Amino acid sequence: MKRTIISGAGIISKYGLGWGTFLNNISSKPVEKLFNEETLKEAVKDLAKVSPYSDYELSNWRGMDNLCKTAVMAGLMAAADAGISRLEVNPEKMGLFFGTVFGCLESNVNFHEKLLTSSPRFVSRTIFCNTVSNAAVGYLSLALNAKGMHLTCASGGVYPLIYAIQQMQGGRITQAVVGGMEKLHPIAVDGMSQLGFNKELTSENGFIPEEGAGALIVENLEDCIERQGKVLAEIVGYGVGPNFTITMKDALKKANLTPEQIGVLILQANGSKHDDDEMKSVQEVFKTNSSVLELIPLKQVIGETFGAGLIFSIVATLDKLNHCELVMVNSASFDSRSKGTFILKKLT
Amino acid sequence: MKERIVITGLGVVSALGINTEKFLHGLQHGISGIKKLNHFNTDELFQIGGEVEELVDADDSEDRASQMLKMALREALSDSKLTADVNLRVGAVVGSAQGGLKTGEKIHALHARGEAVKPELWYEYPLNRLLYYIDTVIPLTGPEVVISNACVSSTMAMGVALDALNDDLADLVIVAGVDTMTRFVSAGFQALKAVTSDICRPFDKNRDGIIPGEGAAVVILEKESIAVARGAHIYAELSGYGSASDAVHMTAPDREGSGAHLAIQMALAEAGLEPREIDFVIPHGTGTGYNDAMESTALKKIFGPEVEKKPVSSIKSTLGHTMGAAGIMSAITAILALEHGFLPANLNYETCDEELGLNVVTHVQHQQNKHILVMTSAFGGSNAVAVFSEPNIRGNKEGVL
Repeated sequence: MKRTIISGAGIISKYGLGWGTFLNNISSKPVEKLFNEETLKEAVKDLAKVSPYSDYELSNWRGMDNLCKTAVMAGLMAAADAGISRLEVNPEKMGLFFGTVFGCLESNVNFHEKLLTSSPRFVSRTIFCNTVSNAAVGYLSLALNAKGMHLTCASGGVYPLIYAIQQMQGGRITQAVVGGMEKLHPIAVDGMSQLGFNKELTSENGFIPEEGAGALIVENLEDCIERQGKVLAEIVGYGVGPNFTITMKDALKKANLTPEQIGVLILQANGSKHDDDEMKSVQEVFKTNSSVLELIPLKQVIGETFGAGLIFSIVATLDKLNHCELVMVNSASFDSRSKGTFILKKLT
Repeated sequence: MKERIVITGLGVVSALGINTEKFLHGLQHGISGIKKLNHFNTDELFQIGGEVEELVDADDSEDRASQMLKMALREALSDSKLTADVNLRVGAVVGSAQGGLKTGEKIHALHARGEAVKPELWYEYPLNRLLYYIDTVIPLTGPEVVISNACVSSTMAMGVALDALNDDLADLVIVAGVDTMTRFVSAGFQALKAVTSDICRPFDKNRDGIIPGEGAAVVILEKESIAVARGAHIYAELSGYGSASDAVHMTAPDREGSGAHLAIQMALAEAGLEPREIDFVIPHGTGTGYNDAMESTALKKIFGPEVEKKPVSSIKSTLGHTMGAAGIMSAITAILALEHGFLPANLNYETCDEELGLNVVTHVQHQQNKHILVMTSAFGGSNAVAVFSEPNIRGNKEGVL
């Protein structure tokens, strides 16, 4: 059985650029309200300091949807962090797996508005190409010269990571960029408010919608050691299912671990009515040990970032793994579907 | 050794009709589903396409995509002898490029006018909504995934389901593909100058573009041991899958066909097959100059000189380009071709393109098949390929749960 590890991460969020900055800032107030074009340009400048990516230019963004820009930058930052040069990767063995919920909504809105106010003859072909959710992975494949297995998932961030691990285990890829992305648009925020998800509308039962992009470099431990890369964490187990009792139990079984061995659990808990179900599952799986388990409701701090949520949670474990050997992460889509659990281990 | 993953149920809603029987009849008799479009405003747009006729747009509570998905789902579950009380770990993987886009058009129009949007419209718009509809018909207890990878979405959905079953994350997975024709999509394809000036002619020398279409299709994938144990009829085996990126251009395919070539190699490797063992190829075959040439290049690399003998047939001139549903429509065509021993016609093919050098099936033919290759490609340089094989055992057509 091959061992799957995380060797790099890239984060673009309102808590700053890069995973180190993100970890430093999530316990304090946000650095800025929302990231914007200027923030992203900063990311390009930061990236230019890393030799394999110094030639990445803003001209690559021409015609690119803003969601895609954040995803591409997160992916490139992760690759740079892992010390992976796009000039040296085996293109056919590099996979790309991303999750989102709303996709390229900004381009969708722009295209709809143009179509509503003018003749179909005047709509933009460039914007149309950006309306598909997989546009980000397409742009990233160009930026990284990645040609292997790939996927864009519209039910959140859980399955892209599971699928990447499966491809790695099956030997079809040796490295992967696994990411999540979301760019809020007023139309989506309005929709969530109408449906009662948005905390601003229902103060006692709802979440704070946020945005951002994150990416991880996932690879086989042996390959990472051979190229003298760093190991941030090992993914030792995962589970999917209709409730967190099943996902957590399956993840423990896959990792050959007992609940007592888990020190920290990063919860899905996003402030919605489904949080109670998750807590019941925690008590069911961890029983008396649930009182000593450190529970972290990360989304109460950073908000619900939808497709990016899992990656942000996993990056948050990198901090926890400094004082705890095993961390569990629960994640689901904002409507409590597509649930999954991952267990990460510190490698010494 | 991995267990075989088999197909035990089919459901189709397409321009050929609203069940598999009509779909099969159309394919076996060379009937085209292309007709004048009726269900949306086509002012200043092309006027024909692969529209699903027997569908009446209901009120705002259910999008056209949801309606089609539910119809195909019910047929597939019934075909597979599955009921809501099934005691198995059931997962669902749906592939769709745009989901409830017709609802999206309504939301965007209301929003642009500054008018209130009813909550039921919001429910219908996110792609995740498609999982809800499956869950209301049969409770989901395994992975729940929506793949949105443009025109390879439902091919990828089959690949994801295959690996979920191989990884023992589920006993049975409902795989669906769905997309609808709308003014949004039609205007987009027209802006790309991808639409034909008259009819879609895949692989013809005079081909000049696509004809859009719509539809939904569902296949039930499960482990062979479970299908046998519950006495289900086994149509075929999903024996291989692969996906690869061109990494060349966002909308134009790689002229060298490198992504498609790699995806085919992966799928054949997983199926444990040599190229010569493939009896029939159902390519993406959109009818555009570049796509069809790219696929021809990839197939030449795989089959070598034998490509000139390998039967090839696209169903895009029969159904139109059903976008995210395209892969699963081709998959069901392959499954039916394995079961009934025929090759569907690549309609409207008249003039041979010597440069492509393919053996295009011009008329419906009888042929027993053992292994069929299905190819799809999409925006973003995405390619996804699946191999369907004759089942090891067919099981019981009258099986009971």
